Amino acid sequence: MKKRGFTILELTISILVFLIGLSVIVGMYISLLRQYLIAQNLQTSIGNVKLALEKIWREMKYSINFATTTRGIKYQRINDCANIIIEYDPTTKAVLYNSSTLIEPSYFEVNNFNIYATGSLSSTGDYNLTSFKLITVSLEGIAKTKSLDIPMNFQISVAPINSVFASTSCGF
Amino acid sequence: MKMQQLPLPQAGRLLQNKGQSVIEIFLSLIVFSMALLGLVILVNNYLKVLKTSKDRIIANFLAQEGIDLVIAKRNINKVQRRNWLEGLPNKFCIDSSLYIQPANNACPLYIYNNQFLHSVINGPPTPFSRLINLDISLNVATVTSIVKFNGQQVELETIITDWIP
Repeated sequence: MKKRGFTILELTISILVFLIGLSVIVGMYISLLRQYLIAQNLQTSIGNVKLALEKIWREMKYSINFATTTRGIKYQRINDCANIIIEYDPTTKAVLYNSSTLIEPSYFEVNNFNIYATGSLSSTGDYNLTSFKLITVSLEGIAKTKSLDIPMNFQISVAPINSVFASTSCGF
Repeated sequence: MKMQQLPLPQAGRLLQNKGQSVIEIFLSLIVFSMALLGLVILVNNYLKVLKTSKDRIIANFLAQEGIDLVIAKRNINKVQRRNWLEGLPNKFCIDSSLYIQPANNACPLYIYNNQFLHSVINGPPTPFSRLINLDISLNVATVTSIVKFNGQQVELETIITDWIP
């Protein structure tokens, strides 16, 4: 009979080749999953910070009565007179918006949060000289992606619309 | 004792079914791993694109900042009863310390005290550089803020006026 099946040696070699191939494929698959998770988490982290900074910028642009606090800034929203406090909590490494989390530390861990206010001049004349002409918010932190942490710096500056007028009224 | 024999057609089929050869298995593994490699490259590129989009978001914020810096400078000029565009040349670099430097090309931004600044060159460099163009016509000026990074650029434009309160 010509057909006599496989020898032990043939079987061993074929299993060995199969295992080597399988380990390469499994390795690639794990790498694929890892990269995909990093990409997903990075997208979430960046999106979180972007939304938070855009919200801060938009609100500050149309707010009044700015004042710096120990760890942040407070202001009054012009449309509904709401008092807003934006602060950094070094314990949780989160940025808070009226005590609720604005930048979620599990996505983006803020290590440094600074607010610089420029242009508070002596209060004389027709204009509101004491209000800030420029507010700069800068933050440095780490985008958390489970297996890879990516350090980032963000910065926004706002010249509030109402920074030069004497009016401190709101509610229109 | 009588030996039990397989019916002839069944025995023939068993002899014909010889399974895949090592070469066949090897080739299928190569094809499969190549397809998977394509996916790995795809996800890797997605990660690269995300990193570029991160830089683009930062560049957008910096470009918007450039415009707000000019507005702040205009407001300070007005409040101090000076010419509304005093100290602002046609092409310049400006940072959040309101340091103004006339320039023809974008000035690099450095990190100092977590701030993006032109004026402090001993801080860590960033891939970003910024230039402001001012096109003045009577009481109106067009401000263009250009931020360059890694061979790409973000450009924002707005109009500011010499307002009289």
